This record gives sequence, structure tokens and C-alpha cells, in this order.
Amino acid sequence: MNKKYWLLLILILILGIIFRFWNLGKTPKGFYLDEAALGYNAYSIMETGKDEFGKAWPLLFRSFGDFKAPIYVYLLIPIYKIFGMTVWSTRVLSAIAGIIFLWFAFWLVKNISQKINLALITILLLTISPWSIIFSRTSYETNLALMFLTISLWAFYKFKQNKKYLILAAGAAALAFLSYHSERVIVPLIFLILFIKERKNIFDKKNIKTLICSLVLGFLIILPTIKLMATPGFLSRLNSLSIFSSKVATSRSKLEEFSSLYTSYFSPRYLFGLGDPGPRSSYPDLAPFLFWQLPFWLAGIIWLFKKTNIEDKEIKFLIILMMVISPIPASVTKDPFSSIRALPLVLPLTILVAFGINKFLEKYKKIGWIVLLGLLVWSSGKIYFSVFKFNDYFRGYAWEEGIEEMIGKIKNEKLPVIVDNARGEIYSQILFFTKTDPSKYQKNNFEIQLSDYYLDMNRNKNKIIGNIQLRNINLTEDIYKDLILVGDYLSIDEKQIKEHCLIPIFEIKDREGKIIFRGVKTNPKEKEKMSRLKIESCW
Amino acid sequence: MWKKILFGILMIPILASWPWSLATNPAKFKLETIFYPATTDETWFFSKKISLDTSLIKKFYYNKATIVKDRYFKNFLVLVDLNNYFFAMHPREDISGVDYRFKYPWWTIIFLVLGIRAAVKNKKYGWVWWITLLVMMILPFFKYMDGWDFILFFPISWLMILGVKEIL
Repeated sequence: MNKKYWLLLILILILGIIFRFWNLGKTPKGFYLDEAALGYNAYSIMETGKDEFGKAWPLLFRSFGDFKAPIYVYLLIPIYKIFGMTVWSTRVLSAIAGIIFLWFAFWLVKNISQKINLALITILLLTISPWSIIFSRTSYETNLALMFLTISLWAFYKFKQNKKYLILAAGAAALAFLSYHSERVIVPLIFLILFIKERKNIFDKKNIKTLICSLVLGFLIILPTIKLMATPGFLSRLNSLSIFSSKVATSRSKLEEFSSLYTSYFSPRYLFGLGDPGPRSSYPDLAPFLFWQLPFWLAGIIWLFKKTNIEDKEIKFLIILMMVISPIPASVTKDPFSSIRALPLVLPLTILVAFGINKFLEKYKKIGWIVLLGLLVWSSGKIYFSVFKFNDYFRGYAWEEGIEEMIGKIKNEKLPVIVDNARGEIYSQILFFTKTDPSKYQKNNFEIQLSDYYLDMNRNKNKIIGNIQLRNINLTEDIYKDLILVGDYLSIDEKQIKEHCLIPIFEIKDREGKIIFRGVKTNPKEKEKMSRLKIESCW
Repeated sequence: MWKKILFGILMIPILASWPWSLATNPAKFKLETIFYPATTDETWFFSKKISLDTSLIKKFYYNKATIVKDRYFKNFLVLVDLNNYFFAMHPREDISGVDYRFKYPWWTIIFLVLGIRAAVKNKKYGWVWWITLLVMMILPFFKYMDGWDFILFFPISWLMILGVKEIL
């Protein structure tokens, strides 16, 4: 690769770093409960060797009963050792994974297609891909899993040059398998087909030792988790979300439902228009792909259907393989177009767009490059508005903004504090922002016997964190004790404040002026007096 | 012989479903276009977006044409949506101004995929693509495309017939 291409590659990566790292600790505004749960469990493991429930080095993190994949948590530990536990340091792992993904996506496409332009355009598109950016800027395990999957695919194709890469492929594939729920389906299926396709190379007598080493390494990494495969914990996500589960009702036959969900992952309306309906899985005004990419995507689809040149055979095979398999786990779940579960699909679909652009550039050369540069600048502006302006304004509620501010108001309170948990569990954020001593928290809170960690699905939503209790506010009793009550505008409204002589202490509002949290102090003496005198309102 | 019988059997759902749907639930063929005054929701979102950034660059992205452009693209994407034709817009039906009309049985989608594959391989069908594209670019100007979009029945069914022929 000559200097010109290296320079372009570095410039693209710098752009990728800007979109992924700039203002990372502040945007998205807020810190979602899953992010906080990943963070606090990493902190708890770092401090005590146990998770929030007191389980030593778990293979799956029980958390909210969703049994989170463990790799993100364990990789956070060295980051916390260096930077401490903050919103930025929790998200930075995902951002780093996003950059490593870009790097390996480039080499994967370059090595398979032997087309350096195609590889550069692919990662340029991934750099400005809203689908890739959102999961690189938030603490979700899916981006980490995609990074390991891409490394494993790159290493698998490098194996033809050097057999030792097979060991790396196996190790990375095993880590991808452990990193996110979707990869438990995607990784085995992709590698099963790749193994069948490359069986002559892999099972060659010269490679037997390497093959055995690779398989042993892969199995050693995933074996402990495989032992848990039949437990309710391992299957919890599947049971609660799968359209094939008896718990999930569908308006159509299960096969039709699956087909409709599956086709939506290839539908331009979803890819270029609607995107993910989840407010934390998309940006306002941005679909997974930018609208101008649609004609190039269609050109890529046509290329996919056409007869294959020998040099395009490998890349076409990989695109089809990833396109067919990646949406399967997401289509089994009830959510329409779940971009988080189908994240690996971003790679083959982006290569298709890149192919269309590459053909366009081959035909129009200079004008083509000017057009592409113009579109790149336009897209960067569009991304800037959606990611750094609109998302915080329109989606701050979804990222649970205001909690850090609220905790700042109550953490030094001497009176017992009751935080209402009727409409959401915010205990993980409280643990995170107060940096509660994990050993104390483990001691004061009980949910299950540790022997039933992966088996018992019962939950205890009431928590005690220092002098903060998380439970439903019970106004009939709580108003007669000296307490600080914290809740949203529904749990503590104006009428209740007057009726129960509550003393307002603080209000946390969003940018529209809507109350997110309200803190009040009870006033038992006044309330009792009022009750005696049979007065209806204190103020 | 059995191939002809099977071909005939497959043709019935492909050719009859959409016309039958129109016969039992007639379309209104409304003439309204997307050039109508902004709704309250559209105005609210637009004014918020405008107010969130004070730079001049925002006008490049958010200007007088934005609302109409968004309506056009929304309609265009409905026309190229597979789920519109085979699943009555499921799993995201929540689009105002777009009908959820049943058009083709969902399992016939395979014939469309095979038909597209066969058609792109053969250059002589190029004109069909261009005409279809032209229709798809004109139809989104209608506020309600229901009924008008029946014109796409012809190229889509033709592609599906090609797909059936690929199998048989």
C-alpha cells in the first residue's frame, strides 16, 4: 500500500475518532441504566472480585435479570484502574471498539476483494455511519462483539497466508460469542459455513496441529458459558423477547411474523428512512444509512444478483453470508428493526453501498470525487446536528437525563431518602454516581441465594444504598416520618405537596421545562396538626 | 403438464390478491398532493430544530423545502418497501397517510426475489426498471398514494411471474 493510501486511511480514522470520541462523556446527555449497570458491576468486581449480588467473577451478569454478556464488564476494569469510574470511561471502551472495528473492516475488505479503493470507501462510509456511531458512543456490548467478529473474520481469511491466524480467528470468534447475545447465533452459523467452504484448506494434514490448537482455544474460552446454556439465566432474553416464546403474543403466524421482521432488515424504508424505533438506538433525523446512499445501495444489490467475476467471488460470498445470517437473531425478537441486535449487518450493507460508489467513481472519476467529497461534507453536518444537538434535546428523556443532577442534591442528605422506583429502576445509576462501596451494598441487599444465581429469576426491586432507599413511595405512611422523598412529577404532584404539607427542596427539569425529578421534605408535625384541625390543604 | 398446473395455481394469488383487495375495499383516488400547509407536529419539530442551532449552516439542512422534501422521501420509501407489498406494512404500520392494504400473500415474496435476480441478469429488461423507477418517483407527490400505486401491480406481478418461471 503506497503513502497516498496510508494518508487517506489515517485521515478517515481521524474523522472516525472525532465522531466517536468528541464530547463522549456528555453526549448522549444522561446515562442509561444498562450503561450504569455495566459500569458499576465492573467497579464492584474491581474492588471486591464480586458483582453487585456478591457473585464472584460471574460468567453472565445477572443485573436486571437480563443476564448481561460479561466481556464488556471485564474489559472496563483496566480502564477504571487508569481513569476511574466516570461516564466517559464507561463509554470509551465502546468508542475504542468502534475504531478497532474500522481498522479491521478496512483490512478485511482489502484482503478479500484486493480493491483498496473499495476498502477505503467502505470504512469512510462506516466512519460516518449513524448506525456505527450510535453504538460506538454508548456503552452497549454489541459494538464490542462486532469488533471481535470482524477481527475473527479478518484472521480467518489471513489463515490462507499464515496458518497461525486460525488460532487468532478462533480466539476472537469465541470472544465475540461471549460479548453479546446476538453473536451466540451469528458466530457459530457464520463459522460453520466458512468451515464447510474452506474445509479442504482447514483439514489439510499440514494444518491439523493449528486446527486442534484453535478449536481447543475456542472451546476453552466458551466452555464455562456453554455449561450455563440450559439455565433460565442464559435463556432469559430469549424467553422474554422471542416471538416463538409462548409469552410473546403475535398478530400473525409465527413464520409470517419472523418473515416480516427479517425482510424489514433489507427494506430501504427501514434502512434509509424509519430506522430503529428505539430512541436509544437511533438519532433524530438520521436513519441507519444516509438517504443519498440509497442509489448506490441499489447498485450494490444489482451487482450482488449479477454473474460473479472470479476476483469478486470471495467478497460477494462474505457479503451474502453476513447479510443472510446477521438479521436472524434480531428477527426472532418482537422488536421491529432492532439495530442493536442486527449490528453486524452494518458491514455487508455498507460494502454494498461502497461498491456502488466505487463503480460511480470508476465511471465519473474527477466529478465523482467532487460529488463524493460534497456528500461527505454534507453528511458530516447532518451528523453533527443530529448527534450533538438534536439527540440531547429530543432524546434526553430516553437516556435518563437528570439523574446525576438529582443524586448531587441528595447524596449529602442526613435524613433518610426515599427514591420512588414505580416507573423505572434507577438504582444502578445511583450506585454509579455515588460510587457506593460495593461490599456495603452487597451486604445490605439480598435478591437470591448465590447458588441460584443463574436459576432463580425472582427479583427484589427495593434497594438500600447508604441512606437512600429505592421503593414505591407510600404517602399514607411516609408523610408521618421525617424523610426526603424523591420522585417524578407523577409520584409527587402539586396537589400532594399541598395536601400533605410537603416542603419542596429541589426540582430537576428538562430543556422543555418539564419536571424530571422533584425532591420534597416531609413535614410530619404540620401534617398531624392539619389532620387534627381537618384542614385540607397546608399551603 | 404438472408444471402448467402449478404455474396456474401460483398465478392466482399473485394476480388476484391486490385487485381483490381493491374490489372489496375500494380506493378513494384522492388528488391531494404533498404540497399542503405544515401540520402542528411538523411545525413544532421544525421550529425546535431551527432554534437549537444559531449558525447559518443549519439553513442548508433545515429550510422551507425541508418539510415537503421529508414527506416526499417518506412516500418514496414506502413504495420501495418490501413489507408494504407482502406484509401490509407490518411491523411498522404507524405511517399516516399511507394505506395498509393487503397486496400479495407474504410467501410469494420469494418469487419477487427470484424475479429481480432473473431480470437484472438480462439487459433487455432494462426499460422495465426505468419505467418502474419513473412511476415510483412520480407517485410520492400524492398525499395519499392508495389506489394510484396500483400501477405498480403490473411491473411487480411481472417480476413475480418471472420468478415463478425460474423455479418451474
